[in-house]
Amino acid sequence: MRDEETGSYWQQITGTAIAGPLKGRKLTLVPQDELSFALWKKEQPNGTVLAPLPRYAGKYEKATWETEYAKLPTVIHAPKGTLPDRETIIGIVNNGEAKAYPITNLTAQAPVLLDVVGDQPVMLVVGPDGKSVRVFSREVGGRSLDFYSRGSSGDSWTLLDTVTLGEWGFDGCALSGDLKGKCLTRIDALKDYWFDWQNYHQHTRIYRH
Amino acid sequence: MAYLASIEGLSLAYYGLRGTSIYFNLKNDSEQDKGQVNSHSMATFDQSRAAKGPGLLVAASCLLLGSLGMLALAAYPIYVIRPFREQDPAALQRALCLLLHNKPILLGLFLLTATPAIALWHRSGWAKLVLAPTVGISLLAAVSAWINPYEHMFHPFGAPQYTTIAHAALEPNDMVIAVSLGGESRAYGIREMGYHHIVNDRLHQLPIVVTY
Repeated sequence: MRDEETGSYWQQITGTAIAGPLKGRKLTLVPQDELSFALWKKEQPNGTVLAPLPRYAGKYEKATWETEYAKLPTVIHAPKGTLPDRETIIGIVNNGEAKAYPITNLTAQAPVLLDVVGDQPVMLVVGPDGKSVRVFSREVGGRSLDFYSRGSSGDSWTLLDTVTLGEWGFDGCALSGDLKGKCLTRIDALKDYWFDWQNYHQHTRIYRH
Repeated sequence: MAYLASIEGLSLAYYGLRGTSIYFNLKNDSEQDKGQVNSHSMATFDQSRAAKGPGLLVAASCLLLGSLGMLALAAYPIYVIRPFREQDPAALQRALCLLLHNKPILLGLFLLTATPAIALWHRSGWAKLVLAPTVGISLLAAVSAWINPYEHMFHPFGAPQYTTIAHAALEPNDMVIAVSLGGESRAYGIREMGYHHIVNDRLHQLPIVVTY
C-alpha cells in the first residue's frame, strides 16, 4: 500500500511502513472479525454494509471463489512436512508466540478448542454458522476458565464454563451465572493461507491433534 | 559577421544571444535566397567547430546509451515489484527507495540527454536515427516515473457508500470483514474486497483503511 500524503510504502499484513518518510511506523489494528454475513447481521442489526460499485460487478469474486482459489498454485512454498501451502489456518500471535490452527482441526473439534499461547490460556471458537472463528483469552478476573460446548449449531449454540457453569455466547460474553454480563478479552487472529502465514511468522508452531 | 546558416538543405534562424525567445524556424533554401537571412543574423555555432561524422555518431551513441540506462533505472523497481512472485527483501528495499526518489533523478537525466540531442539535431544527418530513439526512450523513462502500473491493476474504492442490511446484496454465507468502533459496525464483503483490496473509509468519525 502507498499513502498519498507522504508516499510511504506500507506492508499490508503487518501495517508497518517499509519505505519512505514514515518507515518503521506501525498502524493500529482496529477491532475486526471475519464472519459470515448471516452471523454478523444477527449481532449488528443496525450495522451498515459497504455498497459494491456496480461498474465492477463483473470483476468481483464468485460465490465459489474459495474452492477455486484452493486449487491455484502459490508463489512461495511452506517447508515440506509442515502443512499444504493452501491450508486455511487461524493464526495467532500472543506475547511473542505465533501459532497456526488448521481450520479443519477447528471444525473437527467444533465449536471450542482450548490452548495456551504465549503463556496465556486461550480459546478458539467456531460460531453457530460453522465457519466464523473467534479467539478469546480464557482469563476472567484473575481466574482461568475452561469451556465446553452445549449445542454447536444454530440457535442451540452455547458454551458453558466449568467454574461457574454460566452460559456464554459467541460474542464472548456471559449470558448467565456469576459472571453474567462479563466479556472475555478478544485476541487478534488472522484467517490466512498457511504459505502466507509461515512466511511472516517463521517460528510459528502448528496446532496438531 | 555573417555565416551561412544552412545545413543539409535546411536553413536555420538562430536566436540572438541576447534574445529572450528560443525558436527553431525551418525555411527552405529558396526562401533563404530571397534574402530572409539578413546580415545581422547571429550564429551561435561556429561551423568549423561543429561535430561531424564519426564524432557526432559517437556523441549520439553515448546519449542513446544514457537513455537506455535511464530506462533500466525506471524499469528496475517495476521489475522487482512485479506481482505473483516472491520478492527478495533487499531488492524490494532498493526498488522502493528508487520509486521514492526516481522522479527528480529521471527528470534531470532526461534534460541531460534530450537537451544535447535536440541541440545536435539539425547538424546530425543520419545520426538522427540514433538521436530520435534517444529522446523517445529518455522521455518514456522520465514519464514512467510518474506511473506505477501496479497501482492501476486494482481500482481503489474512492468514496465508499453504504447500504443497510436489508438492502445489502450479500448472501447469508458470504464472508465479511466486520469492523466495530465505538458501537458502530460495518461489514465489507470479502468478494468485493478481493477485487478492490483497499477501502479508505471513516467509522465512528475515525479514518480507517480496510484491506484484504
